[in-house]
Amino acid sequence: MHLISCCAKTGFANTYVIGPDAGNEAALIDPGHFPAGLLSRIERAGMEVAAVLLTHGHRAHSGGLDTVLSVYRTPVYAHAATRIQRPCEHVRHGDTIVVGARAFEVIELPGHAADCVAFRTGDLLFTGDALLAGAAGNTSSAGDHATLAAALRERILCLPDRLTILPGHGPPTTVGVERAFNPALNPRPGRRRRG
Amino acid sequence: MVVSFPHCRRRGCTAYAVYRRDHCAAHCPDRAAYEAEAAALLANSPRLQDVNLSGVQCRGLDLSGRELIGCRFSGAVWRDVCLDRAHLRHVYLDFATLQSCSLRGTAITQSLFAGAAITGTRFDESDLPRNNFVGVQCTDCSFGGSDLSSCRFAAARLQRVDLQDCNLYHTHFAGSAMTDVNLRYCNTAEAYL
Repeated sequence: MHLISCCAKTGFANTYVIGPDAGNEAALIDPGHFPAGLLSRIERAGMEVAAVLLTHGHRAHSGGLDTVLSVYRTPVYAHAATRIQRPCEHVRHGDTIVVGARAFEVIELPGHAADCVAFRTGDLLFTGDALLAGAAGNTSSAGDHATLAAALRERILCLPDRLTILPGHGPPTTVGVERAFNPALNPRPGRRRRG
Repeated sequence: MVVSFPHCRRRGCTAYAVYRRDHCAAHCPDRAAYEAEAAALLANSPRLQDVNLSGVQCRGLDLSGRELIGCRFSGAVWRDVCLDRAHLRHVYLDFATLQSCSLRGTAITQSLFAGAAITGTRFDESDLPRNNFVGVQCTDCSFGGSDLSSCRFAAARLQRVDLQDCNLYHTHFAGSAMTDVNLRYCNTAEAYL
């Protein structure tokens, strides 16, 4: 597996590219205002973007979509409620997106925005803004914290501790870490456990 | 970079098997021998990638200047380990124990120290942006002059920790408890303190 992770200088959003060790079909998750050199890195790694997956439609996570689509003719997968100026393949909870040899399960996590989804592939979970290290997504402007917290408890706490979470902002984390310390997932955060 | 590894063969165990073994560290039938082997591997490898040594105990190793990428040391116990000037990327030290270690002048990013117990350890003058310190218990440690921008310390407990001159831009301390923490001259712009 080949994983590229980069952080934008504008908006600090993360963009991820995941592809195989051999072959070239890769998925690009959240093309926000990604940093210079990302597309060259993809090329140097011998990958070609075969699908774009949007965790939600906010500009910080989709603002680079036009640039990506000017280089790669590729489908864009997003929730039906996502509002962007490009045609999308709409996905919903439980759908599976196949990109090359890799399958991505769609997990709806509304609350930060109505169109928020996570994508799980193997032991990786791309959560966008719904779940960050040590916090749930921001719901202060237009979201709904109770909806988000319920979705996270119902759909993330059932997952194995070992899963790596790659969020839309900030560092990676794991389900085990969030289960132990995230106040949105754990009514008594700060509990110690051994991994 | 590999994120998942083969699972431990012990029935019911969901942990990953350690490097070159069929079991996790806890179920490794020759654990003492394996830990000596792991220490030799670490000591003799200038660059390690995609190696799982979770739960392995190390003591007195000099790993200064090493490059570690995509390696897992979850739940490991490191005592008197020197990682000065090392480069770590996507390294997992979640729920690990670090005692009297030295990580001065390191470059560490996108790595996990979440849930770790870190005591008497120095990170001074390091580049540490975008690391996960959620739930960390940090006692008698120093980060002086380090870049901790966009790190997350939510639910952390910091006691007698020196953060003087650190860049805490966009650093997140929600729900953390600080006792005798030196924040002098830190850049706290857009920090969540």
